[in-house]
Amino acid sequence: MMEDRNISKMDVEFYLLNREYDKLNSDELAIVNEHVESEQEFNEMKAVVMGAGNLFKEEKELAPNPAIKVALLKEFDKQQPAGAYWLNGIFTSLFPKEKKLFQKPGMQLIGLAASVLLIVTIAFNGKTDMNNSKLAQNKGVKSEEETVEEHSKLDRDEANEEKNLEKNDFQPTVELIEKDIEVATLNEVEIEEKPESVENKGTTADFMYDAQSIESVEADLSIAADLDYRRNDNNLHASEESFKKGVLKDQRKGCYIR
Amino acid sequence: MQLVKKSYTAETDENLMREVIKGNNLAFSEIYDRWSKPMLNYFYKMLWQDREKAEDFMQEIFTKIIHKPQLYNPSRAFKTWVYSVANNMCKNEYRRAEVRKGTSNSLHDNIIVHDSSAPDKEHDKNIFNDRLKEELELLSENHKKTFILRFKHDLSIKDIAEILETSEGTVKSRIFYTLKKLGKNLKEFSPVAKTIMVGMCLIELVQCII
Repeated sequence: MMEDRNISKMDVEFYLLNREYDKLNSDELAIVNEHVESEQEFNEMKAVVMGAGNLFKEEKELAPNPAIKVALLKEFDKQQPAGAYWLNGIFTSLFPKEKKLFQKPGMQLIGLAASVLLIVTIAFNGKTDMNNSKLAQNKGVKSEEETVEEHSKLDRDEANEEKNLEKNDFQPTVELIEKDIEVATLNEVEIEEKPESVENKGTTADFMYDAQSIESVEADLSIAADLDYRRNDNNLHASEESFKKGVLKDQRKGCYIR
Repeated sequence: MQLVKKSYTAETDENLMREVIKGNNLAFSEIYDRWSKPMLNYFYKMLWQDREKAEDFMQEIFTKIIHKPQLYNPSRAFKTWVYSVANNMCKNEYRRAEVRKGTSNSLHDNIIVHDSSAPDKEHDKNIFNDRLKEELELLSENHKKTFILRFKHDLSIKDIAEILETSEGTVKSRIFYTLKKLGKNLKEFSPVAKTIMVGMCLIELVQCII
């Protein structure tokens, strides 16, 4: 009770409630004597304070008639139209006055709904507007048909490549052979022509020419031998290369099959 | 039930009044449950212990809350506000009573009849209580209000000052004056007086024996 009433130690009431006059120390006595004339007066006041406390504690408190509450609640309902409270409650809870605009739950819900609407619009309606020239289009993305076409093109290209490779494998050797044959025939022709000249002229100069021609023939022959060697060598290389390419093709095909 | 209806028992009076202003009848019901009894007993004490009058006044104060809840400022303590409204109602009633007193002499006598209802004279305590009640009725309205708010309703000096719209010094002085006056009028119940009386009785007894 003392705490409820916030009784200060500077109040006489505190000493009246908690102390006997003869047990007061000098400081307490000084405070009490400022207001109380004698010990008798102190005791009389003490009796009243203690008695009043007991009186009000023991006193039977009156209980209100329950009919009053019923009547008041009816009055309250009349004052507040039905449902108004809940509408008010919803509004006030969504848009409380004490909060800032962006902190109001209502505003946050509106923001959330707007963002969801925007996402839905972009995600679902975006596809139908692919042909809309006003919108930016992602051309990097290809359809399934396009990718299938691309694959078939690649296959065709590969087939062509194979064909070309097959052709290229044999072409150089044929050319080389033809060239070699040409060179060889030319040399042969030269060789054939020269004896004719020796026979016709029969001079030292012709002899010398013949000697030179023999040397040239020999040189030609060695060249021809070299060419033969190279040709054979080239053929060998070409066959090796064609073999390797064939293996690679098989490997590629194998990959596609997988 | 708890899931459907919000419980307001843990809410402060101030928060409940905020809800009442919004039109929440559950909050009003809670406020009524908390304050109807103290208000009824305050009016009963202040209005000459007339139960019927006290109930009327109690109903009137809650009707005011229903019709004009905006009169309450939630930044202020509800306790002091409701007592100050009750105090003003009592003041008005005292004025009306003064007017009636001029026309009828028997008004107060009829009302104070409850004061002396069946006192149990067997015990000192009961005698003291009855005497105290009587003495309280004889006090001025301001002193009586201050005393009741202090000792019956356990309000602080500050709250009483706010309710009665006066200074804390005035409240302290009123309490001290009331205690002094009541102490003087009820001095036969003080411990010293009792011992003196017991001593005198003993002396008389000894004298009789001798």
